[in-house]
Amino acid sequence: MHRAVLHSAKYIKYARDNAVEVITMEEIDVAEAKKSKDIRTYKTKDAYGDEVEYLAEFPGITMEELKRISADTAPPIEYMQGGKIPYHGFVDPHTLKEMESVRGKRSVAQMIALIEKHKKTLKEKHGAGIERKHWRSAGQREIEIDLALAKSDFLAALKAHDAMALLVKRPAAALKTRIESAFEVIESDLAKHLDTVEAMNGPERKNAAKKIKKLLPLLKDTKLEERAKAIAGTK
Amino acid sequence: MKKLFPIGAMVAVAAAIALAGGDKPKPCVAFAKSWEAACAEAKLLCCPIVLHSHGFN
Repeated sequence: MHRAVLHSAKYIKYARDNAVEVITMEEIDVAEAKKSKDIRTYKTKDAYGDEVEYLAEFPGITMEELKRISADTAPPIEYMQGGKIPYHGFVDPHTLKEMESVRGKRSVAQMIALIEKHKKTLKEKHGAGIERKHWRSAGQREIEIDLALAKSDFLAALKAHDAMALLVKRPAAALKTRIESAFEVIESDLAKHLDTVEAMNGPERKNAAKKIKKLLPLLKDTKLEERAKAIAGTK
Repeated sequence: MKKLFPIGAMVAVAAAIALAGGDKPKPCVAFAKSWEAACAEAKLLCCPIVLHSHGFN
């Protein structure tokens, strides 16, 4: 393990804004057999409230995920080619080509210098990326949409999508496709819900129509606007 | 529950709060939960994927 870098406060802070980190480990089966302290776990809840067990050395990663990404058939193996470890590779996410790799231990300062160099090259080739806080924010909104749809709370889902859509303003314009995809997910669930409401009668339909009326401001200029209006009785 | 946005779920998990039981999480750099998630994120952030390979002590 390379704790001097991976557990360094300075490196953690730097990497948060400048790199996407991937870890693979060799001989996980041996570590399991030996009950290595490096594979101890802790229990927590994920963003959905589901209980999960993460590796204490790699918070946020389960043993299953570590095995999957470290497998002989997983893409990272192509870069490492079974050579000496520790290995640190710097991969261009646009071409998936290795920009550089170094083997053996490196200091925090050396790692930061290498990332800086390759980040500069990527920026020159592809322009500046979005900020990580915007990426995280999009992820959090997607979870809110997921949780809302699980309860058929379309108003909450559409509101979360509206908040997500604000990210499309610069500098997060690159999120446009993801934001559009999130709306398609809501739209698909909502269309099924409208089918159900259309089949309802009496007070049940009246109540459902009231709820749909609240969605109208958030459905403006969408495929479902006219259908929702008809059900809500505003057409 | 169904998780419609796997990439979103992956990035937000880092915010999870530890419960009692088991070991304590070590302060550590945040790792992508899959290669696909790493590629998608690094592309939008326009930063390198830093791939580490290590062995257990």
